[in-house]
Amino acid sequence: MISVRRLMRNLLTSGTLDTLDNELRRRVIILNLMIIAGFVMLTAFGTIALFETNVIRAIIDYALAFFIVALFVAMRIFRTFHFASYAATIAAGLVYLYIYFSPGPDSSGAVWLLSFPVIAIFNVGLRPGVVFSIVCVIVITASYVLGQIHTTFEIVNTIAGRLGSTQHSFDFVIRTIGTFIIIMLFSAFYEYVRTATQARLEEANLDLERTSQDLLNRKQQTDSIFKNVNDGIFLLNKSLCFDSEYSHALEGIINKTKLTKVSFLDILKDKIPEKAFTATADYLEMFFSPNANLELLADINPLEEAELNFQMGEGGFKTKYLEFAFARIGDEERLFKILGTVRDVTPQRELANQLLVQQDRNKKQMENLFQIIQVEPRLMKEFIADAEEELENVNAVLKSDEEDYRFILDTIYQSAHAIKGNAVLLGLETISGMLHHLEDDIRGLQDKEASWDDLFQLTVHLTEIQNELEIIRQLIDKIVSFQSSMASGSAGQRNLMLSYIERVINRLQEDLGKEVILSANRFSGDLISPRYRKTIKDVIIQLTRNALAHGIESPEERSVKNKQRIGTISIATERQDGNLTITFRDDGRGFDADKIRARAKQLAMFQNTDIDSLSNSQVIALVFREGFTSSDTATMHSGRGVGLRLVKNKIEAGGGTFKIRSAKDKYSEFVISFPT
Amino acid sequence: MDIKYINPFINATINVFEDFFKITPVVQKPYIVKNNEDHEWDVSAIIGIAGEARGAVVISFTETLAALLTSKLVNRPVSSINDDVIDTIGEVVNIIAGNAKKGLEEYRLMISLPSIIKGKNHQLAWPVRNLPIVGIPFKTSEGPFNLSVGLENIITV
Repeated sequence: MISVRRLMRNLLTSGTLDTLDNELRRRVIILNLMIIAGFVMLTAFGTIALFETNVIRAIIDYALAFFIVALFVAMRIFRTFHFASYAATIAAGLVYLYIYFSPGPDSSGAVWLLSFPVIAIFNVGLRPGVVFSIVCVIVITASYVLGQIHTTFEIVNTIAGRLGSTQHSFDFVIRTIGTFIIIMLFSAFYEYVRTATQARLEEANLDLERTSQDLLNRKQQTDSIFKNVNDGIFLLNKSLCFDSEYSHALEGIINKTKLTKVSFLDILKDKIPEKAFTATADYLEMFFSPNANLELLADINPLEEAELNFQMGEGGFKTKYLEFAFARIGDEERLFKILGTVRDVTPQRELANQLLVQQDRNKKQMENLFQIIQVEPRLMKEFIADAEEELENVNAVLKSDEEDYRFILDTIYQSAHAIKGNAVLLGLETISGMLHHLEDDIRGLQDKEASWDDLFQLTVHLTEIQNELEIIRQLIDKIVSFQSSMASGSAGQRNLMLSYIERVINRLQEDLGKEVILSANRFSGDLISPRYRKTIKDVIIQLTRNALAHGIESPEERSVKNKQRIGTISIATERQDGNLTITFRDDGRGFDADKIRARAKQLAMFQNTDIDSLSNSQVIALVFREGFTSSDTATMHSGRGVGLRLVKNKIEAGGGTFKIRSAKDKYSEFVISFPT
Repeated sequence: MDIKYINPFINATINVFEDFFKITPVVQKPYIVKNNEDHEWDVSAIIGIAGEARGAVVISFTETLAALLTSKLVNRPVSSINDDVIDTIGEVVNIIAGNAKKGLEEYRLMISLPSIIKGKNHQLAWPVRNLPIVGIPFKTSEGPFNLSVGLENIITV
């Protein structure tokens, strides 16, 4: 069935099928139709004529049939459609005229002639077709008129008689011409309307094509924008899902492909904090409210600077900093959508953060470096080692089963105090500041029951201090390796303990406005065995601090008392009866038993003690009790009421004993003994 | 390091142990943890933290306790650390993390899925060098376990 159809199409279009333009194609089809119809009829007529033994007619019919078949074949081969149209039309015209004048049975040749305008106009187009038709009319008219001419000139009559025809009556000719013209007019009118419509249609078609091409171009541009823009651009529908059109970059920015119909909120979930997530959901909802204040909405965008944390496995995150912006598109009558844009500012933000962290770190390192560089590395190393030892001790208590929080806090406090003392001494302000805070925190807990949370907070502070120490240690290691790489002709190993004490004095006399010299002629560091080194160092440093803070008076006060403006601290070491004795003496105001008595009466801790009945030496012993202090406010150097108690604890913990000798306004002296 | 970020984890740990294992862990005194110090734990779950503070929360178990907790959940005896134990610890710690999340809602903080490390004295690579780390030991009727937290506050622009 289909193949018959295809065969017909092939035959009718001379094998051109759809390749010709519409107008020409139509003509080719008509032409071929005519040819086929003509061929069929001509062979039929030829055959009938043959039966009627009218050989001449038969030959003419067959010849014509052959002619149009030749035309048909030529058309297929040469594709000379215009020529063929004209040839066929003219041939048809001639044949019709011949038939008309023949004139056929009952003058039926005229009937054939009537189809000529249709054939001519459809075949060669409106104007040529009309021209051919009119020529036809003229020929008929002329032949009739010529047939009617009777002049006096025989020659004229003869010529007219040859050319003219008298076979048809006037009425017949008139009717034939009338019908012919009517058919011609209708055909012409039809052809005119058809071509005009066709032209308009084509124009419209062209317009359409142009528009669609234009649209295609625009689409390609949009596509290329969407494909190449670095920002994520997307549309969200009312259920906050992505529309199919979004920029290529969006997938990379939010680490997900195939986003069409994926919920925007699902993307955000687990990547931003719960609170921000809820805020975003509420926020986007507001865009769909018809009376939303769009300006306000732009201002309160919770994702303006969003931090999205993408889980990467292994407990890690990849953090992206994204800037979202949202706008509503469409108006009240039409469906709203949200146009969203997102920009990945991670590199910038990371750089800025890195810079800040680096700056902060550099600043701290420089501070540390400045603080450290002024101190002999050996001192620093010793400080770090001592501090770490203190922290180890604290940690040991923390890890033990000890449940007495008072005792734990006290341990932390004493260790912190010891580290702080040395840190201050070495000018390590960062660490000493941290320790000072820690001490403050512990003091804040003194009057209440410390909770686990309090202890937790303190431990956290300790880890931070530990961390800071670690940072300093790394720094010192660098300095030491730097220094040891320089020529090492050092100025001998001056005793570190004396260096320490001198540092304490130098620092404190500046801060406290006092003038003190150290006399250590009878001091020999060699006598101190390593096992007492730290204890003795801590004790002497604490005593030095006490002496400066409380013992030695200001130069003015000393002048008034007729003492030398400059105070003296003397330290001596001695071996006696197998014991190591260290004598520490300052020529300050000494212990003032009356003053201590008065102070003790003010302190809540001695409320139940009859202070007045105590002897002077018993009163002095009060100074070593927990919480006793002679100052009201704490400074970095002294006055937390821990100093002398620390001395006592340290000596006793180290297995030593001590005695105090003192004379008011003259001196105080500590004689400390350790077994060797 | 701010303890407000850590307390939700402590509470969540206690709650989950009570709900799932009918064991009430008792929190012991916290202590200082040094980077790379030796320890007695056989399996650890790490929960990464990002946002306004960065670091990790690590929950560590002994083989004995991990196996015991697993056998309680799977209802058959488990003696050593096998895949069941890894899965169970991962799941339990995931629940702890989920619980802790509720207490952290008010902070800009993200919590990762836990990942598990096993092995005698396994070493943890903490995300940042020089991170202060605090250890929080727990005692239970079935033996101890440990929570360690290392966090640093982020300096934000």
